[in-house]
Amino acid sequence: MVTAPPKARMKARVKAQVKARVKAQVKARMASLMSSRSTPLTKVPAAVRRVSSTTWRAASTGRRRAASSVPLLAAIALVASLAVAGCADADERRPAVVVTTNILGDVTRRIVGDEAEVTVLMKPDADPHSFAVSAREAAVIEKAALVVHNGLGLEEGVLRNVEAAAQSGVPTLAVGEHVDPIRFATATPGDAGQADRNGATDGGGSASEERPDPHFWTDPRRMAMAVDVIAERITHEVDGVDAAAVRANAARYRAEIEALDAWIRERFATVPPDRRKLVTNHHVFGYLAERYGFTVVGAVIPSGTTLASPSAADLKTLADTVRAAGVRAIFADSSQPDRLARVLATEAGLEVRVIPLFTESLSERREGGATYVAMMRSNAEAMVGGLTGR
Amino acid sequence: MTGNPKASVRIGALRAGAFRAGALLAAISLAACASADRGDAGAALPAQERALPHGYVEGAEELAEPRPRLVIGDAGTGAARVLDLVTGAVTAVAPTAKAAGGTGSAGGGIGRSTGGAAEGFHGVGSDGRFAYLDALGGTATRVVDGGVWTVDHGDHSHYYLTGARDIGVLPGPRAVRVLGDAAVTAVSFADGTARVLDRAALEKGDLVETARLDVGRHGVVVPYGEHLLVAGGAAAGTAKDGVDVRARDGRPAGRVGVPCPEPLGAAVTRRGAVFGCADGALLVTVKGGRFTGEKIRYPDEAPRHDRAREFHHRPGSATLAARAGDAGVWVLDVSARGWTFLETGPTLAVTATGDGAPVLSLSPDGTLRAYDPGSGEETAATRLLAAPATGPGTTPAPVIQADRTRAYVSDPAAEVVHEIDYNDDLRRARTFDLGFTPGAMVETGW
Repeated sequence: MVTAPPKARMKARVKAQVKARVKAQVKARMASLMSSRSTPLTKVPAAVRRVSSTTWRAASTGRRRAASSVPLLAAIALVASLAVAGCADADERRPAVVVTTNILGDVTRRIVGDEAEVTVLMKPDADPHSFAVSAREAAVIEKAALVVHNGLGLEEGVLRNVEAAAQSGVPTLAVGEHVDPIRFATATPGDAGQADRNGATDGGGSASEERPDPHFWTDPRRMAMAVDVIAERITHEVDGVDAAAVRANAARYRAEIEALDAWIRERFATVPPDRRKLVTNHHVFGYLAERYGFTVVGAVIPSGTTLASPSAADLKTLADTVRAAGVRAIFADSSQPDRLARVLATEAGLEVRVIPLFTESLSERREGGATYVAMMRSNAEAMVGGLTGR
Repeated sequence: MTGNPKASVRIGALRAGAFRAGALLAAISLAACASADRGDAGAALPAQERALPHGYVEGAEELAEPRPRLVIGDAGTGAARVLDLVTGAVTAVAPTAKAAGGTGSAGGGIGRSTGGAAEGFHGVGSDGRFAYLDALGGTATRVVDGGVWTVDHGDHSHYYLTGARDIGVLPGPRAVRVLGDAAVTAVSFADGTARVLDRAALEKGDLVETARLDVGRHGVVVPYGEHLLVAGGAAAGTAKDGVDVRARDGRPAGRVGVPCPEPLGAAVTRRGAVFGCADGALLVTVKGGRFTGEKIRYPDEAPRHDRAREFHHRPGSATLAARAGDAGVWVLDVSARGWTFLETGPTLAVTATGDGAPVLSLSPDGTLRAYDPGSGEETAATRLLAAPATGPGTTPAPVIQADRTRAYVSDPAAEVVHEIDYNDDLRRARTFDLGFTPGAMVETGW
């Protein structure tokens, strides 16, 4: 290099040089293979051509197919050339669907299949209310062919980014708005955090009855509606996808969710109607309760410092709630579920199990919560087990 | 992420091509791809650029429930220590590299929170996550990250945990009050200056001022409604009466016209921001970006007690307690817009635990008392401190901090902290042995 070029240009130049060199080497290698081997290689150029005009995922299948049918050295050369082809593709991007929450991410991936890239912003085990995006991710949102988000006020941390994208012309889909949302029945003291032990609040938050409940995914029938809505928008907004393939994926996945609904219904049928009460500090099961005839009973769960040396007074509110509901299990996030169960037994004379549930995020940490369907099954099984005392 | 399968494809390619020259070839092309992928909408994003929750700190963990910690100054050595109220462990606070290298932090001791004379000094306060402690004999304030905090989402809250650490030292003559919101924390000093710190920078371990205000001896700065409310502050060119509304960087943004003569003391509650004035309290609320003021006057028929000079309460709670000189304790019920006077006599420390919940006061003889905030009647009393207070300045004053279920009272002579169940006749739930004399004590994690 004669003069010092700007960094970006230098980078591009180096990249081009590397690419050219690699390409030349591959070419030479291929040529020598062609001339020295008698094995027919007709499949190879076809695979390469296909790869260069399509995608990485296609590239990998193409390579696998080719690798099994050509000699080892050719495979090596092919691998290298495919990698180069893949690089070229990075510039002519595949249409990208960006999804905010990981639950909708799982659902959207099932619908999209191989038809487009799906980028999910929220990590497993994260909190949909508070997760935020980096500057780079914000740029990804702005370039998306479609942004799928939960809406109804769930993703406070990325709402700004979604709105900005919408303003710059990116199609966005607030799934929750299309699935007949319900209102928060009442502000449950359990998850409020603002509530005092005696149930009194510090005030200010009485508007919660007016707000739509964003946690629609706890009702599989609404999620089935969501599948249709998402599929419809993808076929309309995302150029280059095979609409028939997307519709087929959606139909298949919808059937899976309908089967999930039927299975949950069957499992819940084993719980006597008068025991279908969820005493919980979670605030997400309003939809599930409505769908399957459960009652959600908000509860304040004593925390770590209280459990360290509790009095009957500390446990009174919860114990009264459990007694009034007549349940054998409470469904709660607690750092010490065993300790909580123990002090409820010793201090309040209550024999109850403390059972955790999956709520707002898919999980890599805990088993049974890796996908939407798995999460719903795990929760239903945990509820049935807790309420029937099995 | 869709990028992950791609990455594994490449790794697979590397393995398949791991034969002599082939391996090298593949490796070169892989490198080229990695850079080409940057900025691609469908590509994986590097881990460090992934979604960060509010208040994210490397290694922070989300919890199912609050994790309160007391940040306590060792009155003997001046070191800051953290008492984890769930585990009961007492740990030294490790200084960050930045704090160790910062101005005035070398050997920066946390001063004694002296009683009596030092009205309202609780050594001095917290914004929920960071503790601000009197340091270097009242010439500076040490800032300690308690490593525990709560993110309030209105209908529910999220709780986070990370390691506690020393952030550094703020110069300034004796901090008297700390009030914070999600974006800034205002530390007010005895000389009438206030430093407004950037919360995001604090979370990264940096002390960064967004504004510095001089409000005079009778002056109060309160972060509220995404603004700073400034009462008094004639020295800074503000009008004498009423409250200035300023942007978080200190620029004028509006005004609340209700007068608050001789402002002293302030608190932020869920019902609004409260200023102590010579004639009562001024409640400032915000709705749709509009700030309005409402005066809550001292009761006319009440005997002429000293006014409230500094408010104490469980964070966020709309019931406030303030010493009325040595006569007793003023209780302000912000929701009901009314004052109650408690005939307690002199007190070492006082706080309110919540709406309708007991007001706690500590008598010089070492007795902790609970009062009904409505009727003003004493409902419980317990002898708590190992030794009665012998006089101002001799030992550090005891401190009371309260959360939703428990209160914590430091007992300097016994080198312990008592955990009090204030809803159960002041039952002593636990006692934590510190092994040092507690000076300043501040609860974090709310």
